[in-house]
Amino acid sequence: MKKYIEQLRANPLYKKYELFVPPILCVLIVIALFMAVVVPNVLQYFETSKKITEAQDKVTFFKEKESLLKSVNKDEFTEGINRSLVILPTDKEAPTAIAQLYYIFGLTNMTVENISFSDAGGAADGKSFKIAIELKGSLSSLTNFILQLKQAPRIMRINTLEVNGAGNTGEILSSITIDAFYEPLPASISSIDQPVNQPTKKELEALDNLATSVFPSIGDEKDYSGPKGKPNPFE
Amino acid sequence: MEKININLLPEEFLIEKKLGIKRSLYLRISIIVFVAVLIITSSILLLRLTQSQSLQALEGDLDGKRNSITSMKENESAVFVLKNRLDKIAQISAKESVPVQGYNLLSSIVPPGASMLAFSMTKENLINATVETSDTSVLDQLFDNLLDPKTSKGFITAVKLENIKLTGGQITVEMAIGYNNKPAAQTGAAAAPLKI
Repeated sequence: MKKYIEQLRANPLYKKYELFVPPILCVLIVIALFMAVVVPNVLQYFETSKKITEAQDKVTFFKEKESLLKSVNKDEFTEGINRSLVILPTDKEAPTAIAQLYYIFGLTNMTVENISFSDAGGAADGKSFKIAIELKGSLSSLTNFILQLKQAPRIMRINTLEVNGAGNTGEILSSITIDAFYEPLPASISSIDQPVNQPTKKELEALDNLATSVFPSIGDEKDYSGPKGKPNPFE
Repeated sequence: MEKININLLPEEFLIEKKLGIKRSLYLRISIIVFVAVLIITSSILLLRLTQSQSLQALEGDLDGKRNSITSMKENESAVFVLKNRLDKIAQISAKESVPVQGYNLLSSIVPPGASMLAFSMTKENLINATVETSDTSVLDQLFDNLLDPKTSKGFITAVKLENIKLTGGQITVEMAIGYNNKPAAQTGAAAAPLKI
């Protein structure tokens, strides 16, 4: 190696440009360093900075979500879901709707002339089935029926209404089709990266008001005072 | 008195000396530049290292939070399902029954002394109503109410008399009433004057 360097130094071409060898070598090394280390790392720096900002945002988001979920009273929410299922069941649950309708007929002194169901409701804003009823009663009873139906625990909406007078008796015959709404539970819940949309206080209060109605449901025998029969009829 | 300097050294020696100074200067500048670039490069590498470490720490933190949130999946499901149902309930409840709206309006318009014999509403929001009374002034009042935008609140767009019968002192009026469940007062459009 030493011999090689001596030979190189003795070379007239080397002697001629000897002065420029260190700066050129330095420039070459600097360029190599810039190309191989500085430029890629500077580019990576900006990319990683972006990733860090995103990760920091996510950590903040997850922290908020975690504290929000920790504050959730599961029992209270389960109770809320049960209440909401009374208002909007997951399935048609026709007997519940009929029970509520008959309760209103009794309250408003309307006589049922005919009642029938059909599978598909006429509402565009939700799943529903149709209940067609023919009622006899006074005009004020019908008005009362409409009012009571709006206050019923289950969401039902009058789709068509036809009223015909029965002459001088003051009785009217009304043909009403009602959409009784239902909505299956969501198939999947939100992903971990989505924010938690908590119901507002107003919504929860509205739920309380809707679900604390005194309407009976099927199987509610509190007011029943007639004979109850044997507990097991097959014994 | 000025000193006399006589350079007895050969000229090659002087040139060699100048070249040596130049060589040393170039070498020094090159070394300074090289060291500076080396410092910059090391600083960048150090920065990248600390950056990677903080990213790793953040990712570890994220994983921890993810696990914590996953462990509270039941709470999240309860909130999600309840919110979903409340939104659906609010959406359905917000829409009022148009026939009921029409019926309520007509009930408020029919004056005392007149009775509604028939009511029906078509899908095109046309109310067919039959009203009976024995008093012509009540009938006048009914027509006034139908045409008065204050009582009809802009919900009535047209009134058409289909038939008027007089049987046994009872006047029976059959009407077709155009009903608009989004009245001009709500939509901001100007209401057209009504005629029978």
